[in-house]
Order: sequence, then structure tokens, then C-alpha cells
Amino acid sequence: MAKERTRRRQPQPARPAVEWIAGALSCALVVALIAFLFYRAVSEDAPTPDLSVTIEGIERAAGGTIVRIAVANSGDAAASAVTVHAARRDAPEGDAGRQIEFDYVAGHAVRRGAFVFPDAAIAPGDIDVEIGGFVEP
Amino acid sequence: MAARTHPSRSGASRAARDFGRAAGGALIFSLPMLMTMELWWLGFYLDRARLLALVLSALPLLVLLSRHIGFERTRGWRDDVLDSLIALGIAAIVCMALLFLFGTITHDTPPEEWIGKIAIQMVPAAIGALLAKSQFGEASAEEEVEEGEERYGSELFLMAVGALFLGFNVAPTEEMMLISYQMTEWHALALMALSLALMHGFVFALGFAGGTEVSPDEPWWSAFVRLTLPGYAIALAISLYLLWLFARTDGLDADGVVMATVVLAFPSAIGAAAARLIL
Repeated sequence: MAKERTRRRQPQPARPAVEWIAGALSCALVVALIAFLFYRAVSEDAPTPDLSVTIEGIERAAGGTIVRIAVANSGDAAASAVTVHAARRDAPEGDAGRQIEFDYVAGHAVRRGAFVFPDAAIAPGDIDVEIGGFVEP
Repeated sequence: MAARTHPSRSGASRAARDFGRAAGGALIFSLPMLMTMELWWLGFYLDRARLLALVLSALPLLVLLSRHIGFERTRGWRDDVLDSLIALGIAAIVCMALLFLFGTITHDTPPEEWIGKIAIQMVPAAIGALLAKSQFGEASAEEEVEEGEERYGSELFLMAVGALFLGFNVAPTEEMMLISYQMTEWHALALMALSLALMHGFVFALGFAGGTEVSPDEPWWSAFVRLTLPGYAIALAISLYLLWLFARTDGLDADGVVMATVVLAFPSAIGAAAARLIL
């Protein structure tokens, strides 16, 4: 056993080709990743979030009307604590409408959410939605 | 489960010891995740197709893991499949018991919710159950010889398991995404360099005992190309898979996915390089 272990520890003259092939493929992947990140790093100029909100659909449910929205960030930087307000255009005086908050919206990402109104029938034209604000992550 | 070694011990006592050891391994490996609320939530909101993908991809991984390090010595692939299924069963029981004890699962929890919660937790727990032998057992001289005969593929496989284990611990957390949002691409490049440097340190420090052992006669770049770079590529692939699995890539563009993958690949790379220590 001792002899066998001693023999094992001796340097091996040549490594199997598969080890070098795996190493070359991995090297190509890592270099490509570095090139991508480097390109993105030098091409970005003071990134800021650029948020917009759209109504994606309205559907009826047992608990009221669900207004589905999508918040898109077309900027390069992520935004956190993104608030979205929704209010009916024919809302009575003093009705502040509704607000939801997204934890994060990454740069060039889309996050989805929904408002729930107890009213029976709401059309897309009946509701105003807008971004309330955000903070830097 | 058949008794295969130590003929002096009775089959029942040996089986009880193996089951107990597997349950202990499942507990150790899954406890951080069982006490993480993001994983409870994922159990009920994660797309069922992704949950199915997790369980289905875990099966071949567990069988291969049983082939390398099982909670008992096996004679063939059939035994490995059986041990993998037993490990999943033990993991499911351990997870169910603890989630019930924590009040995360109650008598009025809908079946879809508790099944989802257990399914997502039992995969890392099953890895722990299978690894129980190496955690608690004593390696025999015969096992040491077997380790010495492991080939390159086995080493990469163990790296993948190590990456999966550490990656699974942190991938579901909000912090993982928050870190990627806070970082710039320059930070990501520096993190990649640190990941590779630490990985290579582990590769050299541990020597990767086996057929592809790092020899003192070889230049440093030989081990870097053959072991460190493939290990990091594996960590990146496992990280991307975990992020997709936990719906962290949804709605992100290529830049966001790359940034999050590089962040998660940091702990995954450490897990891959230190697989010999962890496993």
C-alpha cells in the first residue's frame, strides 16, 4: 500500500486531452464574460432608472376588478421602492386612489403587479396610473 | 435497504443507523434553508413546472452522488437509485417535521402549498442525507484508495455538487438580487477575479487528491486551466440554473442576468472549490 501511494504521488507525464479541452472551453466562457462586462462598464454613462407604467389588462374577479400593470425600467440603473399610484378619473372628491410598491425594478427589466378595485365595471380609460417615485438601491 | 457490509451487525440495527445518519445529514444541510422565509414563499408561488424541473434534475444528481459518496456502500446502479429515493424520502420527512414544528405548515395549509414547500426544501436535504456518510462516518483505507482512483469527471461532478450546495443556500434570498443591483460592472469584474483567485487557492491548498492531483512539478497555470477555470464555469452554470429555477431571471435583460449570475457564482465557486472540504 505504501509503495502504491508513493507511486501515485509522482508527477504524471501528460494530462488527458479532455482536461485541456474542458479548460479551453471554460477559458473561452470566462473571457467572453469579462469582455461583455468590460464593454458594458465602459459604455455606460452615469446610469439612472427610467421608469414607466402601463395597464396590461383588466379582468373581473370575485373580489372586484383586477387592473394588471407592468412597470418597465428602460434605464441602466436599478430602482428600489418603486411606488405606483392608480386612481379612477371619476373618483369622488377626497378619494386618494390606490398605491402599490415594487421592492426593486432592475435596469432594462419589467415587473408586474395589480390593483384591485371593488367596482363592478372599469374600462382602461377610466383609470390613471403613474409612477410615484423610487429610491436608489 | 439491504445490509452490504459489516456482516457482524444485524441488518435492522445497521439500517436504523444508516437512516438516522441520513436524517442527521438532511437536517444539517437543510436547516439554514428551512429557516429562510424566501424558501417558504417560493414553495407556494414558484411555477410548478420549475419545481418539477428541480426534482427531476435532482434525481440523476443524487444517483451520481450516491455512486461517489453514499450513506452506505453500494454494489451497483440499482442500489444507487434506491439509495437516492430513500434519501429523498428521508429528506421529505425531515423537512415536513421541521416545517410543521416551525408553524410554517399547519393542519389548514392547502396541499399545494405544503407540497411545494417540502418539494423545494427536500432537494438540498436529500444531498445532505446522501453526504451523511462523509460528514459523520470514518473513511476507511479502502475508501482512500478509491478516492485516489477518481477521475477528472468525478472531480468536476463533486465541484458541481459543492457549487449547488452553497448556491442553493443563498440563491432564493432577496439579498442576492440587491447585491447585483448595487454593483457596477467594474465591481462584477473584480468579483470574478476574486472568485477565481480564491478558487485557485482552494484547488492548490486541497491538492485535489485523486487521479488529477495538483503536482508540485506542474506550473500554476496547469491546475488553473484544468481545474480552476472549469470549476468556475460549472459554478456559473449552476448559478444561472438556480437563478432561473427561483424565477430570479424573470423580467431581467442579459446585463441583469449576467450580473446576478456573477454574484451568485461567488459563493458557488467557493462551494465548488471547497467541495472536498464540504462533502
